[in-house]
Amino acid sequence: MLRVLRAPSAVIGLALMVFFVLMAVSAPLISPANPTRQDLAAITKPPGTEGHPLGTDRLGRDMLSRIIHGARLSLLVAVAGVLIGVAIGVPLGLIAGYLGGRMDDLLMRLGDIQLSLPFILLVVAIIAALGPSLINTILTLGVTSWVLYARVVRGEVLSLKEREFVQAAHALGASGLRIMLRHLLPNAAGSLIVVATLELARLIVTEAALSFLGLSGVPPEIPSWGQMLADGREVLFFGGWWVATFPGIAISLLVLGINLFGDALAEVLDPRNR
Amino acid sequence: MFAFLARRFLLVLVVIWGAATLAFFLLFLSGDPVNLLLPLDASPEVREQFRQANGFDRPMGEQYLRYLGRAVQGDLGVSLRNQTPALGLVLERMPASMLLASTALLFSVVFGVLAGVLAAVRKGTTTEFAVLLLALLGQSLPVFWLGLMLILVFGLELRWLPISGYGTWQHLILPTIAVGTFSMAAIARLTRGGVLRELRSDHVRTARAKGLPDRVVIYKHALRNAAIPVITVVGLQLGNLLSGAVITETIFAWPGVGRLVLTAVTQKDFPVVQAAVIVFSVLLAVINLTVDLLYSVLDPRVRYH
Amino acid sequence: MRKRWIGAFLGFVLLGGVFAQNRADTIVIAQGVDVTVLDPNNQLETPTANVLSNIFDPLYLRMPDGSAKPWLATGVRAVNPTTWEMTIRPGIKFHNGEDLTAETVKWNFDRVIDPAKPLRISNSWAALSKVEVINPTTLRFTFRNPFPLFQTRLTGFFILPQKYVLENGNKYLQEPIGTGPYKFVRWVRDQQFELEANPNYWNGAPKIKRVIFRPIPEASSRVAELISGGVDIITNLVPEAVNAVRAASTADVRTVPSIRNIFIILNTQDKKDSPLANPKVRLALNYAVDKRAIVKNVLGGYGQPTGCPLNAYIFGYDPRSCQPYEYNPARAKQLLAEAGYPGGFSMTLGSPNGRYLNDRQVAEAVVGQLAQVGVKVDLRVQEWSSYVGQILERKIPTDAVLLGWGNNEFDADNSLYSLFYGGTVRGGPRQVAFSYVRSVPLDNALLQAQRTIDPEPRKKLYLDALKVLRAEAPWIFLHQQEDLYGVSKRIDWKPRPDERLLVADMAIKGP
Repeated sequence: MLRVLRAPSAVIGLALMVFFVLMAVSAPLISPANPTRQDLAAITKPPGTEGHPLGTDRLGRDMLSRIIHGARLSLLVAVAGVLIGVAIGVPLGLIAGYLGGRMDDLLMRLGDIQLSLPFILLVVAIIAALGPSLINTILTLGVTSWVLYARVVRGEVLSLKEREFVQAAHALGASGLRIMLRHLLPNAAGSLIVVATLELARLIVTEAALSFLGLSGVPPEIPSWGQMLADGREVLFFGGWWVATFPGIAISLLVLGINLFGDALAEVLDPRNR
Repeated sequence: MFAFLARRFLLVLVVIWGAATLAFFLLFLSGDPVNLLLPLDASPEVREQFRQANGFDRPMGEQYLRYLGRAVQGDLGVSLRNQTPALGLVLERMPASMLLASTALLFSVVFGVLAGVLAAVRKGTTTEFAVLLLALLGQSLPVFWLGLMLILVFGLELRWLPISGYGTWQHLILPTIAVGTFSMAAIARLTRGGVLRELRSDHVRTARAKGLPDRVVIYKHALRNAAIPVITVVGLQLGNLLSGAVITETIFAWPGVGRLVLTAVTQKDFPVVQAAVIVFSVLLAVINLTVDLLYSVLDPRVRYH
Repeated sequence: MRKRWIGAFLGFVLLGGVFAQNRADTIVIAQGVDVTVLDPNNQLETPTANVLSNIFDPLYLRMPDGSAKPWLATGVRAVNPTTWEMTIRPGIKFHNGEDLTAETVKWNFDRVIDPAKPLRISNSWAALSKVEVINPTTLRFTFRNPFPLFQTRLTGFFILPQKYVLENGNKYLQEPIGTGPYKFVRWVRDQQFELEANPNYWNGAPKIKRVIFRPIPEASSRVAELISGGVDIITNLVPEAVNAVRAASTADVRTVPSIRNIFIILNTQDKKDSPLANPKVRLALNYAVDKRAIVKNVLGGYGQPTGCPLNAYIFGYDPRSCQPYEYNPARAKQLLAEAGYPGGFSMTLGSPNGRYLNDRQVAEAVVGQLAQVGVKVDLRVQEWSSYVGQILERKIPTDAVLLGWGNNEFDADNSLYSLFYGGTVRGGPRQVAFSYVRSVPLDNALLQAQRTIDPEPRKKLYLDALKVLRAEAPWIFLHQQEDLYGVSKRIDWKPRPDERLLVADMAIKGP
């Protein structure tokens, strides 16, 4: 596993990820100001203003503090969303691949159905039925992303289950559940991790897109890069470039880090590269 | 082959039915459409009258069966907001969406594959590093940031290209870049990975040993085999390009289907959402089938049973 | 297959020539959304009404000061409290040559009050029982009860050509024909809506020959189009972009106080023991919010603080009862202490996002200011359709909701009755969805005003109602919005308070 760190790009990626995780964890300690404290007398002040190294936003809140606190939300949304997607997609993929036949057809068609539904429809339906909240937004992002994991795991299982060690376990009388968990899952883990890192990056950008469309359930008092970016778009051209630019850079750097690391991981984990 | 296609067709019908059903219940869950159709101060009596006129006062099961019955006959209802046939509204938007999706796909495949091959061939050089960095950046830029920046630079500052709208090829350029950049980056990374792997494989080594020039080896052997994962991703992306270009369509005022669906969902225009879901599931099926057929063309080992 | 694609592509390139038109006698107007329906009496969206009111004429026209002026009708007269007579302007022709007669007008009203086929505006005419033609230019209207709102509602009633509608199936929904200053040319959904001048317009041919309405949803893109000269007028300019537009050599900013007020409804009824049930607490909240600072900083100065649900355009407005509550945190704290909450309390507030000018930022600023007096507010921002659904169904999950109200009738009834009537009058109508006030004097005054034709006693009734509201402080009153437009320097135009974009009011000055 540590072989991954031989690639310089992986080290950079990991460093970026660690940087943001540390930022998120220690946000209350390192942020210079209260990220929700407004100062209507000092709105959209440019970077370098006394006490606001990155300027202030449209309600006079300190940009730097909001960026630092925003790392928490972006990481939380991405990690929790991926975990939910994995929790649903992986078992379904294992079952579909292992049992095959009707069950496989059923589950894969379910995936097609999911992909035919406009994402926005699911978002709005969940908001209407359960109300807008951080948890519901994470739930929406997670629940809608299971198909990819299921497809990847199923693909791996299909090629693995004919291999000798699985056949042998079968002959020795191991139960289906045991075979899935002890033999199939660990071998599919490589591709799964790669897909999960890609999804981490995608969810961060998707949360920003939801904010842009005004469909994010994240409460306004929680600083969110996506919301900051969406807020800043109206002043982007016109005397307030920093409001959208700094959260944009933060998103890009974090996503870049995850992607760099994920790529290196993919190369190491790919059995064809051994 | 025929049996395979017949089976696929049957499964497509199942998917369409499933998507339509799920969409129906999700819409039901998302609230009363009459709320937004009438003035906010409309009296409860008037609301009830409207509900009855549109059949929203019937039990859910009955509404579902009636909807299904009509859908089977090809009648997807009339838009509540636009008062014209819902399917027509969706299909009307398809040319603009398809046009943007195809140019974006072309853009992303051409530049993505070129960049990917370049990075693989020049492995370990600054060229590779630059290409990779650009590709990763392309995947991490939020699309609306990119879109607004394109408008700012090419529309407002340089005035080379129109800022918004639809009609000429110039209108197409900025949205194409905005939509295509993400896919281009993904394709570049996949191509690089695939080509690198193939360059190490036995048959490429054999080809090289036979004295074939590098260019031939790369394009005839390596690229062909590296294409499979690329096609998978392109297939997945194409669905996104068609239905998921909402933000680009919003920024550039592009009259595509994504914007239509966004308004229909937020305005609770049930028939339009339903029609769009059915059109999407058909399209998705066509895309999936095409991808599978391309697999069998590219890799004779892939067989169907 | 491939050939067809090439054909489509070539067509697309060639079409470019058609779209690039001579702009000298053409005005291009960009709104956020496209037209929805081409029947002016069966729609209620401002952007649609803006386009259609160039094709169709109403019976009365709203004037910039808020009054209603006879337009296709030449006047109305109350015969008795429930009967009105209307005279029609003679000699008016529709774009297709059809004559406008009293018979046409009667048919239009019959269509709107037909209970079997309710239209979107039918709600406004529920009190109308029948319309009779007396002679070719005179009609008699019979109402179920006295109907003081007759004239003001006529500004929203457009006249369609009877024969054309009846004889051509659904054609009137594709190619609308009216009596207005502009004729329909074509509409490509989500792209553009084209009009051309009607040289035979009864009120004189309009100055601008061609009009193109374009939907551009993203506010920043609209501004970019305006500055680069792609469009001539943009609606809903954001205050943040004002300086950029002013700095550009091509365009300017025009504003007009809007008919829309923004406020926060306090839920005083659904939760037991809510601090909001105490009028002192509600007063305290009004004193704790610095309306002036919000208008200045969040709205760029484009707005007016308010102290009542009305504004100066509206019949029934009273400057004294509508004086904004001063910003006085000390007084707010004192009132909270008197009410038994010396340390403040916690509550929740709902807000839409992007429905009104910087609505979410306004809500966030209110939250920040209430925190200063110890009231901790949890803000929940919600997508509009489910937000408004909860309000209409009286199932709001928060203790308060931010809302805006554009009184399109310019009459206190549309604000006070629609938002406050509490259903306390025995045998009267049910409580309205927005009301969290229960006051018998208020409800009596509102019902009585609905049946009083004479303006003076009617005004007095609304004054009584405003006094009750002043004492109750059922809302946190915020501000009256201003509508902001970006207008190209080559266009001569003054915006109107009812948000209409009447191209007949506009002229092209220069190149």
